[in-house]
Amino acid sequence: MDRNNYCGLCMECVKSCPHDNIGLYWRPFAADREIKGYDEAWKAFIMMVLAIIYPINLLSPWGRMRDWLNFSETGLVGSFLLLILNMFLWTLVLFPLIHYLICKLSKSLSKDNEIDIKELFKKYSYAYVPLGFMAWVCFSIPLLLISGAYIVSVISDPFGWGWDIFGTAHVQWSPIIPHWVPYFQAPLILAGFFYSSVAVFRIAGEMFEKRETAVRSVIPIVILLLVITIALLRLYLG
Amino acid sequence: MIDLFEKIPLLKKIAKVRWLQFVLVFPTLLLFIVFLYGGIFGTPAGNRNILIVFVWILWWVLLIGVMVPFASRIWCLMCPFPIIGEWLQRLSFIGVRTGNSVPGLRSKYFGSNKPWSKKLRHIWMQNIGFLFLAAFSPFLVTRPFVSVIVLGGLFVISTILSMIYRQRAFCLYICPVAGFLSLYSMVSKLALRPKDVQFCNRIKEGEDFNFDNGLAACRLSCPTGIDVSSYVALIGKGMFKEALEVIQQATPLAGVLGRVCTHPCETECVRGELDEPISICRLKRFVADYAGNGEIKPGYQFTLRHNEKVAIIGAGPVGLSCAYHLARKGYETVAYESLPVAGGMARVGIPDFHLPKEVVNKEIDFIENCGVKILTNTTVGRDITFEEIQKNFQAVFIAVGASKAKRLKIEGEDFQGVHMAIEFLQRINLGEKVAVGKKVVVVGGGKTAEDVARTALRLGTDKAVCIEICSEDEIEPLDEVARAEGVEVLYSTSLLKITGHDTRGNSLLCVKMKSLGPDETGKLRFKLIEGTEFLVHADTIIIATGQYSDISFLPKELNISRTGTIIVDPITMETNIPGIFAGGDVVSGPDLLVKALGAGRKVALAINNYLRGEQSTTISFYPSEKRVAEVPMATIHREKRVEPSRLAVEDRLKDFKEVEQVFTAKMALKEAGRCLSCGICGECYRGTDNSWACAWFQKMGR
Repeated sequence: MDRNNYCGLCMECVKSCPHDNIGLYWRPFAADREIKGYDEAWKAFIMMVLAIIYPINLLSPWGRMRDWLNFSETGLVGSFLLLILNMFLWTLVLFPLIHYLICKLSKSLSKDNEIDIKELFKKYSYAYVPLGFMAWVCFSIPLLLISGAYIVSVISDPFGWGWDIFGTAHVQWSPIIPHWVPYFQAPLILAGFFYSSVAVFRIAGEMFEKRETAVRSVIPIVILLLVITIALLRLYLG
Repeated sequence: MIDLFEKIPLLKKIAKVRWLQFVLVFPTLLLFIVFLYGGIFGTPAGNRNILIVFVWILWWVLLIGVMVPFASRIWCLMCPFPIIGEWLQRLSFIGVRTGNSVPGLRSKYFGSNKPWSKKLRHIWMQNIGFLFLAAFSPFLVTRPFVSVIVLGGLFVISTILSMIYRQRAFCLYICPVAGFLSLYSMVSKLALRPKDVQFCNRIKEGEDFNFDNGLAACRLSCPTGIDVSSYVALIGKGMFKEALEVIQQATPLAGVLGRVCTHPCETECVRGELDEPISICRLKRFVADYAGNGEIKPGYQFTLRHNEKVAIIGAGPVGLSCAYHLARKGYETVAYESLPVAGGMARVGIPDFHLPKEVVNKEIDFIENCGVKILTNTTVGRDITFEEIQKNFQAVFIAVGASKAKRLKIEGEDFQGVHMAIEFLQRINLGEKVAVGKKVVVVGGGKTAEDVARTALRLGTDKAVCIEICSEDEIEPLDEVARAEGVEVLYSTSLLKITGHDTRGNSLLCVKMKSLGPDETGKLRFKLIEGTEFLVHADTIIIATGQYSDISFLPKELNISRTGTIIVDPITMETNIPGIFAGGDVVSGPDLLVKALGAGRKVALAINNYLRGEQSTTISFYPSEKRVAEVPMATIHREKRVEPSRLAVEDRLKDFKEVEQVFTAKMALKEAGRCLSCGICGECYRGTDNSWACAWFQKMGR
């Protein structure tokens, strides 16, 4: 019980600890920082890449991509498969490869030959967790503020059978403060960048003995985080 | 970090209630059913369909925007996917989930309860699953029927997996949502953690723990190294099977020890300073009898991991203990036993009313099921030579114990009707009928003499008298149970000779003795009081004055002490012949069974070191030699220990039934509840496959 990853909050430990030794803690954001396996590292890559691909596909000015995704109506099956293949390629191969190269660069900048590149690869993959998470929150904001308006009518007519239980079945869809959406998103992405950068610096501090070595080693990954942050801001803010 | 349980005690109360999960999950399950219904029978227009709008808009936003950042994986507590499977697993909506093997309490999971394959203990399947969901999300979030298939499919898979695999295998390894939650719960502001991490400790062998706080006195005093504090705590929680598993990490003979152990743990128990020590030995017997009953399966066999073979000469407690621990370590082990049964003194030297042979047999079966091969009726030196064994095995352990009766070398000792205690008990325990007549005199006043006298009473004798050289103050008092049965003791008395008629002995010439106190070595000295000779009539005379080891079959070059015991290196347990080890009574002289079990365990570790070429400066069962500093007792209320029931005296002498009855589950819970929990804890098996305190955790190998 030193990370949240596999704790389903079933509270069985609270109920059964003979020594009443379990606490429920309110702690700083992004306090767990340890990625322990390649499967977890890849999860971080997948979520980070998807958080970029989704807005590209759905929000970007390239409407053609939406047609490709909607292949059942447009008939563009080949294009859809190409898009999916591209997604798999980026999440499973290209982004991890970029991360690997970044870690190689980090190692050479640190000038610490003792450091294990595999360990660095796993540990630094946490860099994409706070930023990736914030990117997903940003992606979800318009869902609520724009598409969420459907809830009002559906709650009165849940099956679309013409019911009007709460008298809201015929409320017209209207987005909620859509012009505010970027103002929510931008700080969140910047916060994600901040937490990711701080976390990766702390991880480096734990891995490298000297502070200056740690600082040098995080430079490449922080630059990558910055690039992702700018890309996300560009996508969401236009 | 703020402990919300301390800040808001109501939260802790809520977390502790058993119905919490049901209250949270039942509404979500109902909603899930309604959503599925809406997905199938509702409007196909995505933005008007309840399934699409509530799941992919409202639920998703709540999940990622509220639950994950502020409540970690709280969704997993209320997720409807695994709940039917979980209810089926425990055959209860609310009741406890696991473990107890006591009739009347919930015992096992329903379903196959198989462990998830170790090779699949990772989240790759979740990763790929999430990628596929993401790839087809445009259909998933716009077409209700696709959502029905995906969500319904996950629900069905989860239920099926719950019936095959233990705990939440689906959530841990398959569920794409859980995979995403596992990653992002790392950033959450909420975390469930041990308050004192050092207090939590893993029970499993070979793990690294922090024992800075020290160990409980009971644990440190156990010569076999049983984690007493942990198993008592588990019993206190009703986790009887798990308690037995803790004991079995140190010894396979829980039921035997639970009956005949001299329980130094109780002597050291801190509770004894307040009122009475915890009845630890009886608790051990309780778990062995209840949880061990019917739980021994052939599948328990430990994996063979090494090519070296180890021979053990003698399948008594010390030999069996060593064989068991070597089997646990992955060695092929063969035990040679000259008697027709294994178990040594535990099997043939202790009467049934004290230690029923069924208990010993059951635990020997358990040891054999673990992979130990026992060859009975095989005497080394007669059926097989020591040299043959040396040739065929990479290590040999001499564990012959001290099973030969010491003769007094007095006149009349060879008369008919004069028996050696060990041989007498052995004949009885192997099913022979022995006629003892109306009066039996036992020479000796120790525990063996007491057992012999009580056995004689059960064989129909009217009077059983023990002759003891020490005065009443110098020897452990006669057990009240034996006294109640009618055993008498003539203290300060010594035997001069046995007289008889023809070849049959029928009386003992005794004399009164005066104690001169201990000499410089601590051994008591006595002086004969002239003129106090007297005759004691007896139909049967049984001599119970000590045992020695028969090591006549061993090579002459083996170093033997003046007292006839084998000399070994106290750390490596090796004799002067490389690869030949010895331990137990053959090294120490006759000693306690619990020490023999500890010696067997120690030799197993020493043999492992030898075979693996590892040097060790010490072999210890204790992760720390430090005793826990202070146990606050000011707030503890005095409470008498729970006493078990015993057979009525008039019923005891009819047969060899066990006199002391085992605790009931209720009594065991109450007695274990008296424990002050001095030591650090690992009772929840945190991080292991057997974790009972967590519905989730199966070891992920990290």
